[in-house]
Amino acid sequence: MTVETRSVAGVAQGGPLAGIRVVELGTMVTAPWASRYLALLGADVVKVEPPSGDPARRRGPFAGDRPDPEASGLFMYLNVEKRGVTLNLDRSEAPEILRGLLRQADIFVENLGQAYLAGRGMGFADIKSCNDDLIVGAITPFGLTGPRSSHQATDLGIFHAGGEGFTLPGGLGWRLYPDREPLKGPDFAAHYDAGSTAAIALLTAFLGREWGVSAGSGAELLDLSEQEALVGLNRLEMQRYPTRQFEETRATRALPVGDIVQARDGFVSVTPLSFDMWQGLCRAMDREALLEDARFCDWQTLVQNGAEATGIIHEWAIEHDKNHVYHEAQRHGCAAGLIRSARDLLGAEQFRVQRFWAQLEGSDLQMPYVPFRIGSSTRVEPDATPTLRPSPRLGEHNNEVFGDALGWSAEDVAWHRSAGVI
Amino acid sequence: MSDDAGARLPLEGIRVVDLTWVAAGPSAAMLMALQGADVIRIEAAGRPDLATFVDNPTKDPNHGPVYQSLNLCKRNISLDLKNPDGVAIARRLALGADLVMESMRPGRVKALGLDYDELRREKPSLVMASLSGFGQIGPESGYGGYAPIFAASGGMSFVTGYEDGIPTEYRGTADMRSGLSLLIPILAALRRAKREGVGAYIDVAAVETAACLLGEAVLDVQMNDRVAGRRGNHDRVMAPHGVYECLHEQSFISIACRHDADWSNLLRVFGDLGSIAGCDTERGRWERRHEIDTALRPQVRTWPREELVEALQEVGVPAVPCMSNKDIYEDAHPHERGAWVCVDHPVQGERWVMGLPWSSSRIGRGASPEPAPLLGQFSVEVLTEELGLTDAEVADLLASGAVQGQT
Repeated sequence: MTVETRSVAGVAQGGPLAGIRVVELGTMVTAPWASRYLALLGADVVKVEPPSGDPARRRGPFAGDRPDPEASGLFMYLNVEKRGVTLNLDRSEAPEILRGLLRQADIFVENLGQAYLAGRGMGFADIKSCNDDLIVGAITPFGLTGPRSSHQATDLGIFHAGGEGFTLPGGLGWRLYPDREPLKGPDFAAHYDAGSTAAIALLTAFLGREWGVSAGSGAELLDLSEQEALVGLNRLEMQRYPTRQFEETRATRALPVGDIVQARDGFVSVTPLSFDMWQGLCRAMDREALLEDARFCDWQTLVQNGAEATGIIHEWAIEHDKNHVYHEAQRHGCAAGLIRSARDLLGAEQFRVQRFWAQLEGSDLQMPYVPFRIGSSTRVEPDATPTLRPSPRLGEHNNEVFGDALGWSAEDVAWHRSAGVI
Repeated sequence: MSDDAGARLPLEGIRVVDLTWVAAGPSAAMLMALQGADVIRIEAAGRPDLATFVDNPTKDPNHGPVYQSLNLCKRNISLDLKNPDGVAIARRLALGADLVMESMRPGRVKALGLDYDELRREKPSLVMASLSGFGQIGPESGYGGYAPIFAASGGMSFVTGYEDGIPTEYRGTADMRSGLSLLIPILAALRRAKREGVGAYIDVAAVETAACLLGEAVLDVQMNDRVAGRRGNHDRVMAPHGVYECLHEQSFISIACRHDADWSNLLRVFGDLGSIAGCDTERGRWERRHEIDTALRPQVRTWPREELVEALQEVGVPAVPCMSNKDIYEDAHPHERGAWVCVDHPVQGERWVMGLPWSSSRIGRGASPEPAPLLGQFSVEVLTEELGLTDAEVADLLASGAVQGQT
């Protein structure tokens, strides 16, 4: 089921990307995340794995911590609604088989590295002649050109080379531990961002193709640097250096008033951004007297006394539950964020009402669906939680995909499997 | 609009009305403009976008460098949306567009009569996208927020921090990331609109954008009743996996050891690291991750950062400098790749900003970057060229204040 079911009645079946054919040669997160969006929006996505499987199958988490390549949490999350085939890229037959798959495809996305693929006769130069209309997305840590293009990097390295890592933690986190090293974000955050950016690049190039803008120009290669995807998200901080030689560090990230504050049972981010918000917060804290306090009589003076004001917020928060602090601040017009754990996310009414969770077919497991609703009106239908076709078993669709693309019979598929080619 | 070489851009002819403001929405519209879309910002007369005041040393909104970074290649019109004539102009522009984007508080756009349910009556193929902090419906949908709020309520802050530390506040990206969440369904919806003449309504929530990063953690809660906490730079499986200080103060390197080969190669550079027993397996290294860090730190401290990066990369170990905005600007790599663009702004002068975050073999980085507009710069042009108004009609609108020209 595609994202249409996350929304409203009356939308055409099949999803807005119906009929688009995608081949993904992906490992772990970046390319698989990119093609996940396409699959959920209705494209036909074929995921190509080595016979030993995408390493994400070994990553977990696993129910009861029992490793099972068909039940790895990360793999299941990333690869819903895709068909799966296997292909041994080290075999001499691989280039011809891949070309067979790509001949009928619209989009090919990979994150194995063009150098790796070119060394096996499957780089862009090797495959482009098989399909003049093909859009090829090559995702690499630093891009295909430039002094760092041959450098190895995991998502840790990219997160810290993207400009944000150097500035975390700021505010209270930095004041508590000024001598420690900078921090990374959630697991694979950099790779999710690179994958999202890749999906956008692939879709715009595809639209150029479909709308006749780029017809006749041959297969197109998109150079998708993970670092650039991240730096793009950090572009506001990036321009600060050429504009006024201002280097962002952990010391420069504190807000003038407000912070992460500890409540009785957790943490809340309370950050009045304006004098109006501060005044609302004073009411939320039941401290109306502060409205007359000379230390906080206007925004400039409040900022000058920011440390004191923030101290007052800390004193208030520790006396209450995190939900009280969060909702009271917000209800009085002050920006506040509840520091939610994964368990808190699952229990939060807001996500449920927006129909954010999807369920795996045949399972109780719920997972984030997509970060948008798309439909034919603004109404959200009170339909059931959408169900998603689970990620493919290893090689599950070898017969049908190789049958369609290469004309192989079931016997041909079995032979290639036995021979270790697929 | 096409690039220097004359190759046509994928989104040429796509008309976008951009009613978003500050960061994520404008950045998404800008990526479309850089790919050839014709983007017209509708800006509130007398209320310049907040982005114009960030990093702005003056009181003149046209001196805002952050606004510059988010609004390349766009035209604009300043409208008074409290004036029915201003709203009428907005409505006409919206109905003439393929896509309308907005980021007002949920409910506002409906109060203006510019909501999707209303507009689609006249234009069934219209695509409309709304961006908000928490979504268009739900108990928190009216909540205000920006990056730190989204990262907190969306689950990112909880898992970010030292093992013995507190959650971490996010800035920038926790807002900008929503721009990516906007563009993916927008492009899909535009595709269908062209094919079938049927538009769509898109609702993007910043907290959901954040929560999508927590898929593994959400599954672990259900599978094992286990809640992922904070563990600094450590990984759930790999070790060593961390950030270490190099020779010069505040100069850091990240090192990730993916497998046994990385470990052997790491030892070629650092020596035996105190011969910690049991490190020849991944599990063994992970169990001893703190010990390994303790052994690594003094070693790394003897190296200048870039030399250590080279030495480790030479043997294939993923070692990457931890880069500030200064490091990134001064690094040859992004410049050689054309990631930075220089625009000549009429008031701010030459400005280096980041361009399109990818490159194509056909069209490079897309449109030649034009500077962000001055406030009201294109008001008259939009009225006459896009809506065909006469000079007299334009004069009336300017006189009444429904439209503001360039000040």
